[in-house]
Amino acid sequence: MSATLAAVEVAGMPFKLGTDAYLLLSLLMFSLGVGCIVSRRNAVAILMGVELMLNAAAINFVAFGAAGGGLDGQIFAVFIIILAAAEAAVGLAIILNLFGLFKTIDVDHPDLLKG
Amino acid sequence: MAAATFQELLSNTMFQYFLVFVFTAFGVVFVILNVDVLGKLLFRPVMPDPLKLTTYECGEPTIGSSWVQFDIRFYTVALIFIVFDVEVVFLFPWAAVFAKLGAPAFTKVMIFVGVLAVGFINAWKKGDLDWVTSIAAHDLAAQKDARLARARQRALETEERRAA
Amino acid sequence: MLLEATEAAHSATQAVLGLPRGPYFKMAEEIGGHTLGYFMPELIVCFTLCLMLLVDVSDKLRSPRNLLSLAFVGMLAPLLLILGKWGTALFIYPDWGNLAQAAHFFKDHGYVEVAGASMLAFDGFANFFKIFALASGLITLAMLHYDRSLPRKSFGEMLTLVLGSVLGMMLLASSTNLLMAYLSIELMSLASFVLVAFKRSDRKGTEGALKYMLFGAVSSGVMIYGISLLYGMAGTLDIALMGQRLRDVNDPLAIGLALLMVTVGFGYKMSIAPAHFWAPDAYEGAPTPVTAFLSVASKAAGFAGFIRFMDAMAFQSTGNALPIINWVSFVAVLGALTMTIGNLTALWQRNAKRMLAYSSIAHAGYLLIGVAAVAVGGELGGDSGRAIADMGASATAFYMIAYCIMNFGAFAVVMAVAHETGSEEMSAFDGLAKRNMGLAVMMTILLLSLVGIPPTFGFLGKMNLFIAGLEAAQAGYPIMAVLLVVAAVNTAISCYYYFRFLRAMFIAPGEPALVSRPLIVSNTGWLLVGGSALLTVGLFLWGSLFTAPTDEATMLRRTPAPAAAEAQDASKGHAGHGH
Repeated sequence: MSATLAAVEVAGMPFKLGTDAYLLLSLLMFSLGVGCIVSRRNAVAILMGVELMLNAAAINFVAFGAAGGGLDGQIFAVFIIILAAAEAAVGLAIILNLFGLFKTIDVDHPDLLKG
Repeated sequence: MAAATFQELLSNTMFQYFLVFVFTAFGVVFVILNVDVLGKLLFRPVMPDPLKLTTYECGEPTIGSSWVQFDIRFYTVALIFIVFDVEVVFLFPWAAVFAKLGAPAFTKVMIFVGVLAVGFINAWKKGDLDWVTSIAAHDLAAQKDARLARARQRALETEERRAA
Repeated sequence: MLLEATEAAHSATQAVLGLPRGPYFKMAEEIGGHTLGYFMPELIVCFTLCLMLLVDVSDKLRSPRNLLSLAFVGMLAPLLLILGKWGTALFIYPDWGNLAQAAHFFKDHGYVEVAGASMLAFDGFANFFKIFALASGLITLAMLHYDRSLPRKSFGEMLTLVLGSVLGMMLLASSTNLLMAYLSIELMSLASFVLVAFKRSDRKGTEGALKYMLFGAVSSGVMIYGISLLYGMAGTLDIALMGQRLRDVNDPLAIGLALLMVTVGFGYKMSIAPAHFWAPDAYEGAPTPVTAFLSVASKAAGFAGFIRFMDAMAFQSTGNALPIINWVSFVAVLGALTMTIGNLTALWQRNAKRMLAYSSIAHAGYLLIGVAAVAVGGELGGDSGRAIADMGASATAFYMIAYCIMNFGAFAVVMAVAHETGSEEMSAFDGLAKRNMGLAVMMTILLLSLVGIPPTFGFLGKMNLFIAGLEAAQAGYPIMAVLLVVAAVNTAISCYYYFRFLRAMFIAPGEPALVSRPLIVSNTGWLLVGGSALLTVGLFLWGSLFTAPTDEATMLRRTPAPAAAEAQDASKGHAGHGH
């Protein structure tokens, strides 16, 4: 895959041509993820925003890895997939329990802990 | 520069800084400003009216809330599925080159699968995978728990009475 | 488990892409040989964890006593292994007080770096934090045993989670690679989210866990994005090598931002100022043993990871003044902010656990004094810089020991009171001295230690932090002096809310019906409370009586791991003429 990337220096950084496009994509995904987290009050929606952030990072890793970082990037991406699933599982389990107790998954609603 | 291509735009140093600026803006917004206030004012104003709050259902008058409670067993099985399903990611690259690597790689992946199997056995034995009996088992366990708690409470009270 | 998986993924992916058998393979071959020994403590914990999962489903074996013994052995054995291998110096030089200045506790065996494809370092620093994690885990076991409100039926699951969390902490202390560091952080986080939510019918616990989990997920997302940017700029995940490579990257803004994002992830684990919001809620909601465990072990592991990361990154700013992150001022400002926010908010808490939660945030701020000294040392470079960095690192480590003892003790007292009164509010402490004088006296000692007043170990710890901070200030960093002044003022403020406990215990009349009834503490309770109070005083005496001349032993490995550099060159070279 790295054969398609021509070797060009960008702004003095060890980027190669084509990496920036991925970087832009991942930037967009990350920003959307942050936007989602900031705007949503629904716990599941916030977890979805986090997934977007994690996947944005995974895209970065694969792109940088292909652009000359070696295999580390792709291995990291595989681990991100696993971690995202594990985090979602734990998160959903907690949210499920929350729904059972509070009958809502709005993060603003449970407010026993204050101060 | 009017005919600058997208590629040139991307390789422009100023553009790089613009990207960084976008990052910084998000970082600042996220960390410093109050998430509640910002979220409610800018991104998602909360202005409910009765019609908006009704459940959307095409053409039909709605019955009840959209939050229908599913059986908890669906969720348990789904969560277990997610966790074990995704672990396959580690097996794909291994399977692709298994013929070349031979026994050492096999042992190592077997260790990995073995660890997964331990988790699976645990979930299985705990009854999280049983579709029919799990609720009954839960109830039984809950009853037993309650009995134990009552017994502990009684013991505690006797102890206190004796102390007093 | 992680290691095996990483290694399998490494070798498989390499083979898919047609790359030659790289260093990862060599490592794998070595693992069968002498290098496995270094990894043994982690392997034992990992094995115990798996065994626990199996024992927990056997109807015959799964009594709480069996499960507890299994977890106890599974953590005690690696603890003794590390102590036996690296800690012989402890028995030769019994100078606890001096641990702050010389790490020759570990000197003879420092800098071993093997196994895990240079992802793990087995230096004195790592060993210290491993011992710390295991010891906190063991104390947590005693507290779990003591806590009567926990569901005994799911004891096995709880112990499994504690073991998993401890494993994550041990790995984080060793990680010299950001992949490994990230995985370890996630391992300990995921386990602790569930621990906080463990009482399923407890609304407070679930709410705390939700906040903890959401904050954790977001900060880990931010952190991993930062890691991906650093990886893009440096082309490696090895922390030390990354620090060196970043020196040549002329984009301070991007580097600064990426470093900031990674710091968010560590800051969340350390519960320092802008990332502390989850802490009081999670601490108040969680079962008390879990609260104590999180506030001590989890925080210490966060510090271990951050110190290692920052040491490598501060190092790079010697050659290249970074306009965005000047680590010294950055850490100093965070420290001042953290301790001030923690202490000021603690002032008007009514719930004892919540007050101790804010106090633990404040203590994270004090610990940052040591971290800032590490940053000063990294910036100065050279022998003098290294000496200051070591002082900072070991003062942090030393204060952590004190903090561990006094915090576990204080939480144990809260548990003892809550067992009898059913309340964790401050009002439950009213008239405690009349109900149980011993408990009140023990609590007083622990509180004095938390404030940092002389006849206690907490004083020695704080003194060492201040010495390290002063040393750094004298090296030409006035901001360190400012930080020390803020810390001193904060210590004075903290007296007020710690002494609220004293007022409640000794002066407040309390409800007559309650006060007339003595408060009974079980043997485990006495062991926990009395043990920590005695240690607090005893270690103070021990530390002030036995001091030996200083020794400039170093704790942190600073050079990039040879295997990482080699791997990097190999893959670079290959990509170079391969395409």
